[in-house]
Amino acid sequence: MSRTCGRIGQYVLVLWVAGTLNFALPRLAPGDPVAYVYGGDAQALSERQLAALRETFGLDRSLAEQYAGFWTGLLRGDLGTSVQDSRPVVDVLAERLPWTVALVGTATALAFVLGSLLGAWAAWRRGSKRDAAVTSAVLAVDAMPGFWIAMVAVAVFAVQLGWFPSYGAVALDGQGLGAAGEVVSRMVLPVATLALAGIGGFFLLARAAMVGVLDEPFVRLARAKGLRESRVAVVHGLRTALLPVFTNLALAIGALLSGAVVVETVFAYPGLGSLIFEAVTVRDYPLLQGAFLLVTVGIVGANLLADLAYPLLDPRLRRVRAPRGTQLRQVVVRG
Amino acid sequence: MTRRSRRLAGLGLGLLSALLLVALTAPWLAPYDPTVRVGVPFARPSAAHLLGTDDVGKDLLSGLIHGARVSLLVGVVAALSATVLGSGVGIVAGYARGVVDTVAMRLVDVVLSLPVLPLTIVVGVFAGPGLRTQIFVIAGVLWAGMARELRAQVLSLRERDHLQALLAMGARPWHVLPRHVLPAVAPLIGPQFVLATKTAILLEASLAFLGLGDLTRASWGTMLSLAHARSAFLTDAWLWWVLPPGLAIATTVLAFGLLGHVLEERTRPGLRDRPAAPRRDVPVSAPVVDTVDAALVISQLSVRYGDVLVVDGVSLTVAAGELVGLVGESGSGKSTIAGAALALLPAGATVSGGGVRVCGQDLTNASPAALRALRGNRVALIPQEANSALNPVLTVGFQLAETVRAHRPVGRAAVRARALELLGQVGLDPDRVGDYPHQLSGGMRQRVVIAMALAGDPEVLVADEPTSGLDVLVQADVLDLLDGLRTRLGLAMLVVSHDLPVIERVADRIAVLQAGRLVEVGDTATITTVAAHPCTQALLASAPRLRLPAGQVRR
Amino acid sequence: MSRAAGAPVPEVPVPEVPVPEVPVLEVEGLTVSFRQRGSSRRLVALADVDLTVAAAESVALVGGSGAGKSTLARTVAGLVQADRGSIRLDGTDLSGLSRADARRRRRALHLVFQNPYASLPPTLRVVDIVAEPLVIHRVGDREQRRDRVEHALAAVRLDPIGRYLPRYPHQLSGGQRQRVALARALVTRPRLILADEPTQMLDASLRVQLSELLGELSADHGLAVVHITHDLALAQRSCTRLVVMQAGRVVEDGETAQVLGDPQHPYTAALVAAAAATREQSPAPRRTACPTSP
Repeated sequence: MSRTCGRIGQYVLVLWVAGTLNFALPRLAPGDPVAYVYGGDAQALSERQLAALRETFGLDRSLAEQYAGFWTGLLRGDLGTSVQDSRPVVDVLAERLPWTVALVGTATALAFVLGSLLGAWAAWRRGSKRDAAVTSAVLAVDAMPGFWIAMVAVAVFAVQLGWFPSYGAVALDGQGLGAAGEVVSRMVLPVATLALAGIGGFFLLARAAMVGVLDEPFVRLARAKGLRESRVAVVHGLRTALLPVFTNLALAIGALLSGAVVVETVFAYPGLGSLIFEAVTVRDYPLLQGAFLLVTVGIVGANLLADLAYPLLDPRLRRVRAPRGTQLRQVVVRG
Repeated sequence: MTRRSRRLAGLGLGLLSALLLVALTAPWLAPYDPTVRVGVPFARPSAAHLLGTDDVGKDLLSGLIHGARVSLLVGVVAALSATVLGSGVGIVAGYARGVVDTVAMRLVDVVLSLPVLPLTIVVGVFAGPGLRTQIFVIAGVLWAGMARELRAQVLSLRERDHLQALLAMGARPWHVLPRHVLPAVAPLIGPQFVLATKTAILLEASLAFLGLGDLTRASWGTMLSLAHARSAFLTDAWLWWVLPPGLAIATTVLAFGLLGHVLEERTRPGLRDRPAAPRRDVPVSAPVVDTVDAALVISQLSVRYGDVLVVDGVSLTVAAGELVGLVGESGSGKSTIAGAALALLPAGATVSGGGVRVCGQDLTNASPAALRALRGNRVALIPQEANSALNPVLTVGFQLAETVRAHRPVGRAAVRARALELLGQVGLDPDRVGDYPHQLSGGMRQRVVIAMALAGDPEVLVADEPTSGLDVLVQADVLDLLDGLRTRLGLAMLVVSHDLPVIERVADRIAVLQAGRLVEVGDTATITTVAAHPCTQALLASAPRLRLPAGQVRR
Repeated sequence: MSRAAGAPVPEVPVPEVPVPEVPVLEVEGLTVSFRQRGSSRRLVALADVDLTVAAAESVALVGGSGAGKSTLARTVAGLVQADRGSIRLDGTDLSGLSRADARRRRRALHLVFQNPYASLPPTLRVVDIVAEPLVIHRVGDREQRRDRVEHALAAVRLDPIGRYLPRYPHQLSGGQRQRVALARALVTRPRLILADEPTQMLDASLRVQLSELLGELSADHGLAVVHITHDLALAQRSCTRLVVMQAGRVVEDGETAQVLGDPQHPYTAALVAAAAATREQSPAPRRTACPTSP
């Protein structure tokens, strides 16, 4: 169990660093921190007004007090107020979060399945012309910036061909079933773009893992046992090769979330990504910081899930089986 | 390096040199100054402006050419800083271990857990846009992955015998690090740097696209950012405003990617391309014509690896109920012969003459389906090192059951009963059926692979160094088990070993192999007492016998 | 140098501090444990081990894998930290010394590894490999080091020396590499050599040669040798004493002939029986088969 405890400690550390970064950045950045919290044109304010603002935001207190106050606020779920629309940051984030979860979730699943299957297939045919073609194509797609793929996708599929709407997530006047269809059709391009941008990582990892597994003596023995090639490939090859790919799933979600920032921006998709872009454009610092924290929490959550799921997939990570008879007692003692 | 890898690396290098040339000669190459208005806004491509102009009338082609400078500058400088920092931290942490390592790796894990782009955006926003910010934040997130990679390498390097030998000699870090560690990890740093450059260029483009680049200098990212802001992709302008910068980024990243990929392959032999798994063993000259009717007939077998003949005209028969030992020093071709007995040669090896017959059926020209029907069914393999020959993520029972089912269409209950019966046959507790290989001892794993070999009721059993890596006491048990099985089940058994004294205990006949040729075959007593060939004599002489006083108890 | 390369005088490295009364190595109550991955429990690798080796004595350390043989050698060599117990080299207790002093003291011993393919630095030439301990401990100038290197190579019978000096490890056979490793061990003129299954990775024909070389070095140069092996027959040939380990403990310790002839501990008896069974004369062949090859 100490492994899981160590991981949880690591995640607490990550969240602490992310929070502290949020606290430190406005205070380390050039200029008066008030400007970052206030958001408006701090230059235009008089010295008296600035002092009043400092008091309101607690910027006149000692750093230690400010730090303590910052964390109490954060733990209570207070992320400050968005400068742009004067609403609590938490509310704005809550409104945008579901769209990003749907987008990134679908794209990750697609990229994982397609990327690892294609990668394993290329490894099975390694050295062949088809492997070379597929690997080169994936490397080429992997080299394209996500936002550029998005722009080209809009230009081709939305503008030129008119197959899908070019922006947004819901139709303005839609209702009932038609509205649901509208939501799906507006999701197709962003999901496809994001999945395409994320496929390369899974592909390369799965190919390398599968090449390694196919050289293992147990694959040779599987053939010596007279198993069918398809069974050798799937049960002994793919099953084992997917483990390292799965370990990387959580890391990949981080990369896909990064991709979502630019892809959502191009499609004007109302998720966290485009929110970050808007916050950058109008320099809405509290909103930007809140979004950053939320994305970090999301990645930590994904990592935690992967940690919990991994022992289910890899028996070597499960607790070593105790000698018969003592098993029950040991569980009680440890649990 | 394969020819394909070399071609890819060449392609990458060629593209990079061209880009570098463009970047260096941009002021002369570009038709206009990209920061100055030289035409009407939103001009379509024309002879004067090959890619048209942007919203204020700046020449897009000139911007594209000058953009190479920013992309390469930011990419290379950021990657270089990240490489220096990352390798430094990784090497020191891996070598020092202990507290230094723990602290450094916690930090690395934190950086790796933070979302890359949002993090760079947040830091970039506060630090203000510009090239220096871009380089700083990109290097700030990229070093961590490298530190982790190098630390892992140094940790495993440190455990290698030649570094342990140095430490045992009392060598200090300032002797070991520059002389032994750095040269060993240097080949790894190269590809890491190249791949980091690739990531840095993509990150730079994303940052610039979000408006965090240096707005006064043309870069591919800022061009796309402007195109986005002016909705160029909603009109025909996407063809000359959106496509070219994106293709430029993709080409540059691909060039670095190809180069890095090939460089990395060179340092990790596992990733290197090998010929595909032998789908069909190359058919050879003549089918085996041998009149001897034995369970396993190897006649005039020759096998080559490329130009090297590793097995040269070997003939050997094993009859039912007979145990033949095949001995020779390492590299003599023993294991190749064992593989050939199941038509399972390693990739790159081909049968170049003669052949193998199992129970009267010729393997050399058999179809893949016919081979599959033979393997595990009439002829089975006991591989060396049971530990790696068992799939680590499947239970022992599952691996036994799939072997049973491979050749007999039987129901679940029957398969299970058979699996338990097999475990009993090799002296294993049937309760172990649900265990994974890592839960068993070395001797038990060896018994499991023996049980698997018996699953299809084969007539012929080929054992490739079945006792290597086992403790002396376990070795004796496993040999006794094999000996008992062949007597009880009347199996024809070919046992490959490098250890003559081990095999002479149980073998009826012994064949001695040297450099791919059979130098002596005879019954065990003859071979061990009146061996004629110098190689056999050497094998015998090399095996000192334990001289015990008379009357010593024996098992 | 007056000698022509290729015709060296096989001078022997003379031990620096011959103190015949005090044993070269005295290990007392040595206990070592490792933290298990992902568990708070510790795995005991050595439990209260005693071992004494005198000058010119060669001791075989035998036992199954996991018995703690290698851990014992590595702990004595300073690669593994002991939980308890003392290690005395020539009468000096190492645990009472500062790290730097202990390091200096350990020059009197040298550890030879199992795998000759891994224990030599792949990027150095033989001449630099053998000289490395001298460089590390800053012994002598270039000329003197070269001289010592040649003596050491002569002592391990690598002949002609001039041909081997400029070679890299990958240009040598397994047996030659292990000789180079032994030469590297001898070059500091140690009092004790710990050899961790030095013949395990070699082909059978080389094993005997090499283990006999170890025995000769011990007898000729007054070296104390601890030879880790699992081959009782090898031990019988080249070692004067036999120490049997099982599960981190020494279960038997005595003259080789005595231990083999009359094993006291059941584990030793089983080992001897297994080895004897392996070497016994084969029974009459069960069938007379015709050789199919000339």
